[in-house]
Amino acid sequence: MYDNHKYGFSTIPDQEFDKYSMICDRKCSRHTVYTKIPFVDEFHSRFYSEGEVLHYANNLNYPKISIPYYKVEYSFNLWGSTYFHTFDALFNPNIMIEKKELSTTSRKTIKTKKSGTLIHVLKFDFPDEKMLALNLPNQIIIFDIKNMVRIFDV
Amino acid sequence: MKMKKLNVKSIAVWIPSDRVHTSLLEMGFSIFDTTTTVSDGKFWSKKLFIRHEERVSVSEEIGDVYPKDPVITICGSTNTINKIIGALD
Repeated sequence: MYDNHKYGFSTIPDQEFDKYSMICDRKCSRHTVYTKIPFVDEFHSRFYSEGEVLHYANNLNYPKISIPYYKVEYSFNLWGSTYFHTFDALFNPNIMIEKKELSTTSRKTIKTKKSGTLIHVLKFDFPDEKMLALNLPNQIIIFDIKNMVRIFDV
Repeated sequence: MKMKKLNVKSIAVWIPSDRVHTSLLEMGFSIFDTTTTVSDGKFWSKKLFIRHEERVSVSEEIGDVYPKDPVITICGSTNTINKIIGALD
């Protein structure tokens, strides 16, 4: 699992950003992202107030909230050569309202308490293992290659 | 229960992914989950459909991409593969 600021709210496509639109807003892709409402990022244990910048357009490499992801790598041995298939699977946001006890002195929070304040909470759910699997049959696989981009002389 | 012999076929189609999803649901598949994957800097929305031991994933690139040509990867019986391809023709 990685959480290394590779994916931030400003650089993800609109379709992915829409999942976060309840808590933050941006003009369009690669623009500055602001919070719309106060919320708690439970994954990183941080509280954000309304109007706070989450990702600056002029600092795209360092988002304040990093979207965690799994790095998936498959390797295949074929006729003595190894081929790699790699991709990242982003964690899915899960936004809900919960009662939280917020600390006034520290931006680091956050205890769940019955007497706390109702606030939006951003959680990240990891993708199911089935979503990362390559489904291959057990028997011999025949590659039906119609477009050869490179030909090796024998 | 005897396991079906499963084959794999991956195709790109020139029809909207919604139509592909509808066809799969009509064939008795159910949506398992959706996730966003990133490969070579491109974002993809991947939906997984399951019917018993058969699995079909429908991946579509998201972002400012046109035209949309979802990639369907079927791990199923020959009969299922033919039915899906027939339904999308």
